[in-house]
Amino acid sequence: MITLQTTEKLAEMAKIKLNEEELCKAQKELCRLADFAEKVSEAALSADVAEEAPSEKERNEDRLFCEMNIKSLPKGSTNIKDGFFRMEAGERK
Amino acid sequence: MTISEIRSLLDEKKISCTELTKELIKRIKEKNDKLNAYCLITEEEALNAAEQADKRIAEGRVQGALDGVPMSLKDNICTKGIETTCCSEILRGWLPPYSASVWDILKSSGAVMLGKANMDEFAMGSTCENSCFGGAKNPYDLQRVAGGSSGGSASCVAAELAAYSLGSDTGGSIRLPAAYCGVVGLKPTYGSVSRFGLVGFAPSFDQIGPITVNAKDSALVFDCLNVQDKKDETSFSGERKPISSSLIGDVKGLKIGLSQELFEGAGEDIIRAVNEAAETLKKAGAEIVKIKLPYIDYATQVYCIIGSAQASCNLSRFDSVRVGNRAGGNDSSEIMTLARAKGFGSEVKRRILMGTMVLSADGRAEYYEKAQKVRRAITASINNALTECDIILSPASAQTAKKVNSNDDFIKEYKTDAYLVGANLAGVPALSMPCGFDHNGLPIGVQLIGKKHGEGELLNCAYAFEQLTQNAYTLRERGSII
Repeated sequence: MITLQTTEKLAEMAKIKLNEEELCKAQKELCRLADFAEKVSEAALSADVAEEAPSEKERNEDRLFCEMNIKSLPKGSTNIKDGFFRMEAGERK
Repeated sequence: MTISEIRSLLDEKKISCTELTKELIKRIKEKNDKLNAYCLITEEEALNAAEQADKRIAEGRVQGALDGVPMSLKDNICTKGIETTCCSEILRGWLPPYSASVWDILKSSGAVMLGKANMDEFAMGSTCENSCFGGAKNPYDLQRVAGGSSGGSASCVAAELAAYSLGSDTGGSIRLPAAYCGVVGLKPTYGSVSRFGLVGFAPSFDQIGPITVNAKDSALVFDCLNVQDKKDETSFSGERKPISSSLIGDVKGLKIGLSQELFEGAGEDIIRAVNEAAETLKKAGAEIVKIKLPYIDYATQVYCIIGSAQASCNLSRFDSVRVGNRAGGNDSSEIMTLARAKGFGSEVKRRILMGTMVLSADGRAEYYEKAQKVRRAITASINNALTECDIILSPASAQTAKKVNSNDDFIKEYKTDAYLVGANLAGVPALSMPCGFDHNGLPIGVQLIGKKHGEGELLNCAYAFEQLTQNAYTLRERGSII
C-alpha cells in the first residue's frame, strides 16, 4: 500500500512539486500502478529464467545501460540507484 | 508521393527540388492548422538545402536515393541550432549544441528537412495528445488521434506533407501511429540505427526508425541509417547489408507464425483484416504456423516498470540547472523543483514518480529486478518462437484510431501498446503496415516481427503484401486524403 506520505517522499526525491490535490491523485495512481505491476511478481516466480544468471551479452547490455546513466550522475556513483539518490540529494557531477 | 517517385521527377528534371520544397511548405502552411503534424516549420533551412540539392543534381553529383527528398524529424531528435523541444514546456526554445547522428547522416545524404514533427511529451503516450503544442490529428479523420508517440511523423507522411519522417519507438511509438494513419513504420533491431542525439526515454528500448508511405521507401531510408556509429556504445559492430535493392516480393517458403496471445482483445474488424493479410501471404506461398509466446501477457507491465525506471533516471537531467527552462526559485532545490513542476506534463510526472518508486530501496527488489527477469523470459520466448518461424504476424493495435480527447484511463492507455512492446523488450525488429480499413474507413495495421537484423526479411514480406494487394492500402494510389 502506497501511503500519502510515501507519495510525498517520492515526489520530493523526484524533485516534483505537487499540491495537495495533485498529491492525492498521484497516490491513487501509484497504488493502481503498483497493482498493475504486481502481476510481474507471479510471472517472475514461474519464469524459466528466474534462477538463471544473465548471459554475458545481457550483463554487457546492463553494464552499458548503467554506464550510460552513471555518466550523467554524480561522480563516485556505483550504480543507478546510488547515483540517482545521491543526485537527488543535491550532489552534482 | 513515394521517395522513388520524387527521385525520378528530380533526376528527370521534371521538377526542381526548390519548386517541390516550396510547394510542400505552402501545403504544410495550409493544412497544419488543422492537422498539427508539425510543431516547427524550418522553411529557411529547407529552401537552402533544396538549393544545394538542385546544384548537385545539375552537376550530376547526386548523393543517393534520398538526395533532395523532403522529410521531417520527430522533435526528440537533436538538430544543431534548430529548436528541439520533445514537445515539452521544459525544453521550449532549446537549441541543441550538436546534431543527432541520424540527422548528420541524412544531411550528408542530401535530405531536405521541412520541420520538426509533433509528438507526445518526451515520447510518453500513445495518442500524441500529451504534447505541449496540442496533439497531431489523424488525416483520415481530423476528429481522431494520430497515435503516439510519433504522431506528427505518421500524420505528416500520411497527409503527404513529407515524403518520409523519422520517429522513435520505445514501446510501439513508431508502429502504433503508423497503423492509425495507414503508413509503414519500422522499428529496427536495437543497435542498428544510432541513438546518439536522440533525447532518450528508456535507453534499453529506444530505437529510431523511418515512417514511410510504403515498404520500398522504408528500406531506402533504413539502408541510409543502418551504419555503425562510434558515438553510440550500443551500435552494432557486425556486418550490415543493404536491403532496398534486394526486395523481390517473393514469400514462397516463408514461415509466418501466428500466436493466439497476440490477438487477444482485438476488435472484429482488426482480426478479420489481419487474418486476411495472413491468408494473402499464404496464397502466395508462405507457410502459416501456430506458435506460442509464453509470458507475452506480462509485456506491458514489464515495459511499464523498466521504462519508467529508465525514464526517471534520464529525465533527472532536466532540472533547469543542466538542461531546461527555469521557473523561479531561491535555492538550487527550489529552482529544480519549480522548473520540473511547471515544465513537465502530467503523464511525464506520473512516469517519473513510478520510476522513482520502482528504483527506491523497497521497490527495486519488488518490481525492477523481477521485471528484468520477466523481460529475459519474454525475450527467450520471442527468440524461441522465431526458431519455429521466420516472422511473427499480429495486429498492430487492438482498435483503430480513437476519438480525440476521449480521455481513456491511463492504465488502459498503457495497454494500447500490448502487441507492440514485446519487440522492444527483445530488441528485435518489427514493422507495422496498412492491411485494411475498419467500418469507419480508418486504417488497420498489421505487425510483422522478425529476427535480430532481419529487417530485409520483414520489408520483403511487406513489399510482397503490397504487390499482392496492388497497393490497395498504401497512399500511393489514394492521393490526398485531407
